[in-house]
Amino acid sequence: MKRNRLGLCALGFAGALLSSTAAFAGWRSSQEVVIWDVLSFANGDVSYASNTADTGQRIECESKGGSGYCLAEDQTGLTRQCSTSDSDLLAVIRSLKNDSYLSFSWDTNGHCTNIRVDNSSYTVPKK
Amino acid sequence: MKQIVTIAVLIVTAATAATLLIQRSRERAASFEQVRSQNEELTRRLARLEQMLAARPLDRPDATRTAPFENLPSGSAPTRERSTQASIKATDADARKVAEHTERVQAGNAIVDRAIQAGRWSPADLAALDSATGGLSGAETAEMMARISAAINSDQVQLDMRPRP
Repeated sequence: MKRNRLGLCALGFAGALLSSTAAFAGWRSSQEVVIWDVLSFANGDVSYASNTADTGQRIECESKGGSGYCLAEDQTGLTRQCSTSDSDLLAVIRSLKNDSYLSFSWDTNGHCTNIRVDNSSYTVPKK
Repeated sequence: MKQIVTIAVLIVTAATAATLLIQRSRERAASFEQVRSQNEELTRRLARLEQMLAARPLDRPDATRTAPFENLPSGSAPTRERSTQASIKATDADARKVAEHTERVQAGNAIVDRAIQAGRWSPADLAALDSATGGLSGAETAEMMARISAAINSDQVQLDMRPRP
């Protein structure tokens, strides 16, 4: 049963990656915002929404004092959000830049269970 | 001879068992004594707390101003009274802080409750929550945000981000 669940998760994760439109320009990627409810997971390039005029997509985090939250909105208008007061996750949020890749996951109570920020030269800078 | 040895072994065994039992009994007694002294200490503290609460003028906000020895020059009031007076002032300040804190928590939760009832969460709500929860701990603020996040994630609340920043 556990193995099946793991398999399902892996399948879901692969699906999330495959379903996301990652357009490569040279070595640079521009990934749209993807929300995968089965995994309680969202990811995308922060710059994608800004650089794509006809989309309502957004993925962002904000921290204030000892708390912070992350928010994702995909092309269909589906939104997911999580909040945290975990110091490690807050440090990750504070490392977020305009051209970062961001992913986060959440639990049923709306708490962030993981936040990942990649600041690499592979993402397209925000225009 | 064998019988003597057997009896001796039995006596030694019995003595060892008795020693162990006595030792365990002493340990238990010591442990009991420790618990009893802790209990006494707690009772003493509780009594002190009750005395402080009884001395605190809950229904008279201006009580600190009318307290005895207030207008006397410094050092002329009896030390014990001054100490009590300081305790009353400190307790009042603490009570005010607790009340303000409680108000902030209630105000923040009220904003979240209203948004959940309305099924909408806007930047104005976020700003209002930010303003209402100023001074609360990160965990408390995050908990309120988590409530609205859970409502968003279960599609009970729609994010209304217009106008976009």
